[in-house]
Amino acid sequence: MPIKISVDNLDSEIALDIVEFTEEKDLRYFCVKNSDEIGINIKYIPIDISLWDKNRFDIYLFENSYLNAENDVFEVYENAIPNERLGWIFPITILESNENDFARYKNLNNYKFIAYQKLLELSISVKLKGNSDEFYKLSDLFGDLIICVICKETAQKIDNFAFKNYTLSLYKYGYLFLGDTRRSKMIYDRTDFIREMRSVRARVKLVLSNFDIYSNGYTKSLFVEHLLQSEDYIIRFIFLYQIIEHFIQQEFDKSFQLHLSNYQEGRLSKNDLRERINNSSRERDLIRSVIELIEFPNEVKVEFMQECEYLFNDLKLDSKDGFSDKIYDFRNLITHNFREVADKSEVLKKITEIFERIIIDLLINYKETK
Amino acid sequence: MEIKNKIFDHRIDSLNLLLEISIEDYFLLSKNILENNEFQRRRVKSSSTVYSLLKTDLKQGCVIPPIVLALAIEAKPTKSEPDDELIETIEANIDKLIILDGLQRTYTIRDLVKELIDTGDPDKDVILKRKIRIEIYIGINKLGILYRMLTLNTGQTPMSSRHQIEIIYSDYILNGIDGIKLIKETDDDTPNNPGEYKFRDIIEGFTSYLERNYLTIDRVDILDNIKSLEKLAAENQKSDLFTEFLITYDCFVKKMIELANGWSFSEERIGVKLSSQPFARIALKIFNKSQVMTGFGSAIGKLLDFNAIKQTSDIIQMIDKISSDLMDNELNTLIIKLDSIRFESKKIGNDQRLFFHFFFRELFDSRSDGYLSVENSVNEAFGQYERKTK
Repeated sequence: MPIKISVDNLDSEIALDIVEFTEEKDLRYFCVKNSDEIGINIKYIPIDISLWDKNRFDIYLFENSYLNAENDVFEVYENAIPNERLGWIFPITILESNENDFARYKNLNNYKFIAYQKLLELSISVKLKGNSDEFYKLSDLFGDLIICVICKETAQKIDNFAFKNYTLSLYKYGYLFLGDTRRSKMIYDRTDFIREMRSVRARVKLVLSNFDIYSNGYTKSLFVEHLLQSEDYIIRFIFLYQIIEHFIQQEFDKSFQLHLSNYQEGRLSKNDLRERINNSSRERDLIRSVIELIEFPNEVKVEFMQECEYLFNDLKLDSKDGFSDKIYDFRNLITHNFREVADKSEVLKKITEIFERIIIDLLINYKETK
Repeated sequence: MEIKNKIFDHRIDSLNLLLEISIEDYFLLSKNILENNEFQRRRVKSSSTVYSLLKTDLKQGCVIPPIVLALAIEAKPTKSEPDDELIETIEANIDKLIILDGLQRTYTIRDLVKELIDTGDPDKDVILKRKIRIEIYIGINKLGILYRMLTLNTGQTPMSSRHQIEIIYSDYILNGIDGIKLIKETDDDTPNNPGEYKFRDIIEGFTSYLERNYLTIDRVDILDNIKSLEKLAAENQKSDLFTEFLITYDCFVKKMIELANGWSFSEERIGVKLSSQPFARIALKIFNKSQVMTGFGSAIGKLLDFNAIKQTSDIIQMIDKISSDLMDNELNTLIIKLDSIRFESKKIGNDQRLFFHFFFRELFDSRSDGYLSVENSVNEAFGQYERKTK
């Protein structure tokens, strides 16, 4: 799976499948070439190299519109083995600069060397400028991206480990798996989150998702194919609310089935059946039953309710007090009265941002009821 | 080695000699060049098959374009000088020769000779006696060399300007300039005293000056080289810009150390918590960093372009006039601003360079709000940095 390069003065691509590291007196570089010795040199900039076996590691590529500063380097942990580092996640910049706070981290420097090797073995097509100089940088080939390197041995200690099952957990930190084009949009103000991550040198803690977003076409398109990455917060809200609708449908189907079998088995009269189905189909109640499926962090609920309260007060509208009621009221406001609130974009955007976190928590922690 | 033709190059004020030399003699000559200038030792390992084709062609007696060398010496020989004296001059200064054009061809010739010897090739003697052409620019000054390197390289695989500048000015590592010591990266030595700098950092600063660009780009395309050329053509080639640049910068650093008067940064003392290690804790360590030098270089270049100064050395008189009663506060503010850049920047080094570019443009432009004031220049530069990056 080699790198394929094309240059201005050549029509066809050249596949480079040999990767060699060279260390001279004051110069280190990788040479990526083919058997005809045609190739390119990529300068190795970090201060240390590593003797670790690259086959012990996996590499994943991301984009992130929020955590993309040179110092946004984080250790990666998984909650099943909270005391063992799974790997590192970092911007490509730290592979090309020693001017960050992590230049001399011994363990990380091993990962940097692995990252170079793994990146240069990836199957990508790159268009390079003709008349090149001696050395390219990794970013000439890969652009601006975030790299996650995971130690396979550590990962194997986790039952049925599959990195893709952490897509939502990574999404919470702003990490989006890299696709053919860059899709990540920085539409929310996440200053506090960013500041906290940077100030405390936070870890990226992976949490397995209970809901398999890959097996559901809609969630796959939202979070894997990045349909959610719209600059319009209202579109985002509508997309996200569809997930609530999905669970509402599930909840309704279950209770409908239950009432129906109770009726069929003579435990319910016709009138009771009609009444219970009517009750079960009330959207406000269905949202409550969906929201009650999981325990949301209190601060998220409070933050959401406060912002909604502020908005409804501002509009001089009544809204009910509960968390699920606020979701329903906000949904009604957007669906039926958006024309009245279109000028409240800042608070609407803020509420959508919190709602996005709520939906992701819902998917990660979702437990199907019997 | 036999001189075949002499032409005087009036653009760079140097005598150009066309010589014939056997492959064997060039092998020996090039060994000297490559050993004496480590910056010329870097080689493109596998850029194309062209060079392996060339080796086969050379064996078959192919004529290759002349390899161009330069000899930077004080003497300025003219066309009328006898050939044997010119050859003597070259041979006496063989350690000062630099390859301007044909580094890869030189490597190919060296590979060929080694291969002929190693394999005991029956045609070895015939091939070694074959002639190739070389050109030597003799008496050429350093900026002239740079000019010629840029013009010669534009049609082929170019070296970056920085690499070319490294090659040309590497002799200053040995001798220093006006008591200023330049330290090689490979030396186990760091600049810990006033007047000491890493050679690489100064080269980056000077490259930024020539290119008017605070970014230290390794790889440049032809267009960048041509831009550099235009700038060089506008400079006075008779003066040594590199020396002038270095002396001016050194003068600035010494002034800052004097004004700092033993200042050191302490978070406890000023009651501020930085996000990470400070940029530096003492004045010397602030100003002997590459980021500051590149910012200085690009800013001075811009000030020249905008006619805010007439020559780099004009800055020296301005440096004398920088004064400060509260230098401790100003340096503390500088460190805090640099920490703020470090906290959020996508490319810390580049952003610090940008900040210092604005800082020096403020400090040395008589039309700016920060003119000769460290405090105002720090604040103005940070404001400009934020406007540019946010």
